Amino acid sequence: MLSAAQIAERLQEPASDEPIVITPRPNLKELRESGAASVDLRLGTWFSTLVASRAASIDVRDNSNAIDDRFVRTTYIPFGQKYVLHPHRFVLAVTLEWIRLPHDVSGDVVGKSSWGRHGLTVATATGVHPTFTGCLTLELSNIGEIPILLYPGMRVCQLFLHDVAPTTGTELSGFVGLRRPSLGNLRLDDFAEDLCALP
Amino acid sequence: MLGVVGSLRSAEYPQKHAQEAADAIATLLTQRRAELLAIPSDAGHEIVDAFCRAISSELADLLQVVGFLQRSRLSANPFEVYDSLRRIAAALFSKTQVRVVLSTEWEFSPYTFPAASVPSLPDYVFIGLPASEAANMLLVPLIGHEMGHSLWVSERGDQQYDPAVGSKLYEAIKSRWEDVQRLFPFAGNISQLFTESSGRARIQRLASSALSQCEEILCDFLGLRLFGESYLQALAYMIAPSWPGERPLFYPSERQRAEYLVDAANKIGVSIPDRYLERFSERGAPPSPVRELHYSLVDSTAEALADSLWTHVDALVSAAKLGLPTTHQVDEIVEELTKVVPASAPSSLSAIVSAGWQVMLKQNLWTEYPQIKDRRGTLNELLLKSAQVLEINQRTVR
Repeated sequence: MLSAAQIAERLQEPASDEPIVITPRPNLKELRESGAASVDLRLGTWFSTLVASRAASIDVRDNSNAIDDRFVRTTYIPFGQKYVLHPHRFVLAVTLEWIRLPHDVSGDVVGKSSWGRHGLTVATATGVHPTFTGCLTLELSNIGEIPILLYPGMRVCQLFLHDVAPTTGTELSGFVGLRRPSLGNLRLDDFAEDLCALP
Repeated sequence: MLGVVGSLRSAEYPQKHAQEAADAIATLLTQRRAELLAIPSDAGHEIVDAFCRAISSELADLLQVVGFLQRSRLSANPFEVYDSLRRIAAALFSKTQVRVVLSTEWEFSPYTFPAASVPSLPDYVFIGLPASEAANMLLVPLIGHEMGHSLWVSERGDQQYDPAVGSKLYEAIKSRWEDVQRLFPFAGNISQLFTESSGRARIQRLASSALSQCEEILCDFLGLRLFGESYLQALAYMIAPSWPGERPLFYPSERQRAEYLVDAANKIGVSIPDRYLERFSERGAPPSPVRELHYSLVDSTAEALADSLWTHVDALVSAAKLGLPTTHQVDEIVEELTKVVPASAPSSLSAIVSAGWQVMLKQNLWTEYPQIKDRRGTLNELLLKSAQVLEINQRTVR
């Protein structure tokens, strides 16, 4: 796992073909002095919610009824305004930062414990693969009893980075270049389809 | 209408000035309703009718703005550029404190209600982007043209250029006096054409069209002066080679617009895309000798004023301290975009869009990344994020 000081060092290697990129760049002095093993990420300005009234269910076997953009309401919250996350509600958000990882680094997104203690959980699917480029989609839930006001720009989660055996080639990971929350595709693979098939 | 008032007030507007406009309209409608109710029951029909006519006219103006504001909330809008555009407008219209609202219109081209065109909201500039490409960052330079219409209003372009248009039109008519006499029957001499009421009535349409052409040229110059080469690219994307059919007299031809821009670009060292003028073609010949004469007189009048219009725009933009980006500033962004990351320290919106066009036109862009299926879409995401980074950097300067 990279220390905050190592992350700061890797962020300062513009000459490198593959630096770690976090834009807007965190305050490197603060990062070095934090003594942590992660870098804090901030909340972005885009939020998406599923429109429950239009979607009957999420069924990975029924492609004709896939939950896609038709069922998503996307909202832009400018800096200075707030998004109210009520108790027991779920919203997709996005990091303010655009991340690009090189071939030999992967990451994990973890919520900040201070927020967790107030009921806000961040991200359940936390892996960030090598060569990822884009803003990270965050799954935010308020599991507490009090509405939480979300302000774009506030620190909301932390990114842990690890050295990994480098991947080959120059390929990017599956999710490329998105600045807004992304649902991703849900579908069964062949193995699961075989298991589900009636004999 | 009371329902409209309620929905206007309660809606959320990502753009600050849209919220302010909505509040202003809601307040105005409430006030008008109170005024209507306050008319004494014994007031004469004439008074009631006059009041109702005035309010109906005001409503007609405002309702189109209400629709515009509602569409300004759509997530298809390029919200990330709003802060930068607001700053550009604030610098450009420092005397009048213009407020800007971006929205979408189901129009092919960008569209505007310039400042003062909605009497109840004189300080607002409403700019509608084509709904089909509202979030296309590469077209942002065209907003510069639309802002030009408000600049024309705030600079009182009609009054300022009217005498010069008259003078240049006089010269144009003089140079083709024989044709004018043959095709534009008028018993008097050329001076009487401009001094007698029957003569002035005949040339009023020509003068008015020439004035409108001047406004369009000024708008193009503002787009160029604010966005440099990227304006040239965006304009060509939108209007080249030309529209079919006969052009309106009050518009320069697409080819003429391109020529004016190339001349101006040369004056300030803006690079001109390869074979730029070849991308524009002239429309067919005018349908009659009379129409040809009209075009000739109006076009040559506007052309004679193009240099003055450029000088005017250049001085205003210089005074507003809105410079074009340097090659180095653009190259830095190009390098980052090529690595599929947004600009980390963009100097201006103009630098971002200029870099965007350069990357867009690169041969073999991102061919080493087969995962990028939609190159234009990915580039657009990077450009919008870069615009947000610019906003963040400007807000957090300490």
